[in-house]
Amino acid sequence: MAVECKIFGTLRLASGIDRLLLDIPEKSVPLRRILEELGQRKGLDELKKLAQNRNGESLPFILLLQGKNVFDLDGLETVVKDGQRVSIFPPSGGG
Amino acid sequence: MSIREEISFIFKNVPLSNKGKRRPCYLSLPTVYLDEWRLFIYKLIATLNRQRQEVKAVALAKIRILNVDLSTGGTNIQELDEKISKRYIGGRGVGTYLLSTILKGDEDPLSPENPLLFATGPLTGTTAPTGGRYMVLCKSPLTGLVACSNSGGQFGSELRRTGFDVICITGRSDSAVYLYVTDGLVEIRGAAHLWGLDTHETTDSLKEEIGSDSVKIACIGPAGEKKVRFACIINDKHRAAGRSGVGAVMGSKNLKAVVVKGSHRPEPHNRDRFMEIVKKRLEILKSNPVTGQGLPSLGTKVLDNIINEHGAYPTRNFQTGVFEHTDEVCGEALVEKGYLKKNRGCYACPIKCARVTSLPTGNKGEGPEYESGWALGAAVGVEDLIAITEANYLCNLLGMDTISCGMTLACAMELYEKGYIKKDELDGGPALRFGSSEALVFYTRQMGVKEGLGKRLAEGSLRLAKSYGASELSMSVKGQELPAYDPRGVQGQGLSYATSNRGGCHVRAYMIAPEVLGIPEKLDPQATEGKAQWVKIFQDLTAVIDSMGMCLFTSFALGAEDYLDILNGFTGHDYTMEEMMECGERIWNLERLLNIRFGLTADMDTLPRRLLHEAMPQGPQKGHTVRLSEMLPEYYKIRGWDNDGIPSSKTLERLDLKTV
Repeated sequence: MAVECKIFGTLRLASGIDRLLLDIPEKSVPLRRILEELGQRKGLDELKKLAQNRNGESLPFILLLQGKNVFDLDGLETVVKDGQRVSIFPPSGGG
Repeated sequence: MSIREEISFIFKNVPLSNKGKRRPCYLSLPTVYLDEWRLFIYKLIATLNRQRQEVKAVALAKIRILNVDLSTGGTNIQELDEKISKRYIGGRGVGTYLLSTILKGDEDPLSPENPLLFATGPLTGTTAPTGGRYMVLCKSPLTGLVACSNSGGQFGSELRRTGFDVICITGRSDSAVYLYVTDGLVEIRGAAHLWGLDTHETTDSLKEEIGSDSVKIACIGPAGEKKVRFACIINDKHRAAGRSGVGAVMGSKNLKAVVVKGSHRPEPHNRDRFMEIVKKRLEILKSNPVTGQGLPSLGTKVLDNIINEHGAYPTRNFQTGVFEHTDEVCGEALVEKGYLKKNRGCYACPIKCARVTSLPTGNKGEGPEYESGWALGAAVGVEDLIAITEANYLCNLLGMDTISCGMTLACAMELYEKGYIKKDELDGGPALRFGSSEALVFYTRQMGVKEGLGKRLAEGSLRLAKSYGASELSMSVKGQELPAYDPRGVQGQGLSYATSNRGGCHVRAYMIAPEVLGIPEKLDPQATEGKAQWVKIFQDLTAVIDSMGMCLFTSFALGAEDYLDILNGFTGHDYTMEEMMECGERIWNLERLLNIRFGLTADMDTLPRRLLHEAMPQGPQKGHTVRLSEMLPEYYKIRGWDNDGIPSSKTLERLDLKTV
């Protein structure tokens, strides 16, 4: 399956990646798996740490699946399907 | 120069330092009348005063208010009762209290009767992280309600160093003037030569005239002079007391600038303990990923993509919540396109979120921040980051609130596209089409100098839309334009907008933090249950932070306990958590009471029709409206207000507000 991943904020500046299409053999995977895949890339190692963190849900990363915050869904266990879009933001604030 | 302008007053100077550095104490008499024997007597009084005051802990020194009546040229010093200071903390709280003692209710905001206050908090000018904030308060010419506008930079801390906590300006000068406030001295000086200059020219001219680069200046530009209803006050060239038209009130007084220079460093009650408290919080702010990393590197514009991906990025006058060109205008683009040169911080700020930018056009300045970039971008459908930044620079030079400017233009564009504004009304200007960079820059300037259609735009979106019989196209609350979050995607923020004491505003209860950013914990943005309680707590805590003289951005990393420690550590007061939060609640209720005095009714606690009845047309929030009726009654109840939104007598008694 193919998942569109959009990278923002300091993660985007550090990695130079703004979006990429992730090709995964399975038909659906938990979000944690996507983060592990992305975490292999230079500048995105923070995502690997996030994926490994059992309490990842409490970290102030903003992870959206189709525009919905996964922490309002099933956190890092939220199931991602073919053709969906994941948006990843490091902890951010403003106003 | 008239005698009045030359009159300067020497007055009693209450020390801020407990290190023994005190100046003589003079009573309020014009220097021209001072002679040797009087001087002797005043020095004697000063000595007596000093001895009396030294017994007290210095940080508990009374809040000192410099009153300036521009109609008569008279000035005096007022000391605030300590009970009042403790009840209202300082800054926003004390300023609101003072407004409540001055304003009867029916004053025209642009009349001499409307006071203009510059108010610092107990932490302003101290080493507390971000302790450089000040407030400008008056009755707003935009909303007719309380105006209470916060700014950073260096001006607030310098004002506090003059030995004054608050400057309260009343009346109206016959000719253009500026105030020059130094240690224990205020002069009203002629400013005819500055009238018409933009905020940068004014600042540079004053520094040259005074012969010092270290004076700090807050001034208005042409927009304030011409009383554009959303004119702002700009200090240190790039920082703004932005909202609600405080600059128009300053202009109505013929007051071009306030210049401050002081040498008293506010001393904490217990220096060692306070330093320890500050050190600990500095570490928290630096290690927190938001305040230590996100805000310094991308500024507030890190939000463009977050809010857009969330589907709550108001586009083309809130017609939708997704802007298809966000990639072109976002904070990341500002870096990648090379316009961002560096970040800059206000006084004592470890976060440093300000954007120093320069454009390929050769123009330089600060900004855009998130709100400004959005109001002059997605709100008007413009995808050209250069035009957005140019319009932002223009707003700063002319002295206009970027949010109200952009949103008034957005309203005008919708009025034009729907056929209300006719082509012949454009006075030869470019077509008011969404997405037009040319229209953005052209009408921004026209608004600031009130030329052509700009005269009508300068009245703000509500008056503009009303004049065409289409007030529903003004995306405002209580007459003030809404900021950069579509509440159809963030329910609690909707309640926060509807109940804000200064109308459409995001910094009275920033519900985006829990509902979108997950700070301090993640709330479901579409849930309405429990949001009333959250909004109340955020409103009360924000009132405390604003009154202390610290920046709201610290709250991304600090909690209520931290503020309590800082407040007690500096002032020597012994607030409990309940007492501190009650101060915030008291300030909120006093603002509400003042607004009621000004004519506010419960039916004004609402949102534009579009947000309540037109479902979001696309994106992740598609199909949603704001379900205000599920939250507002609960909010009134939690606040201890009756069904008409009026604080009950029990609530007033509990908060010591019975006499207001």
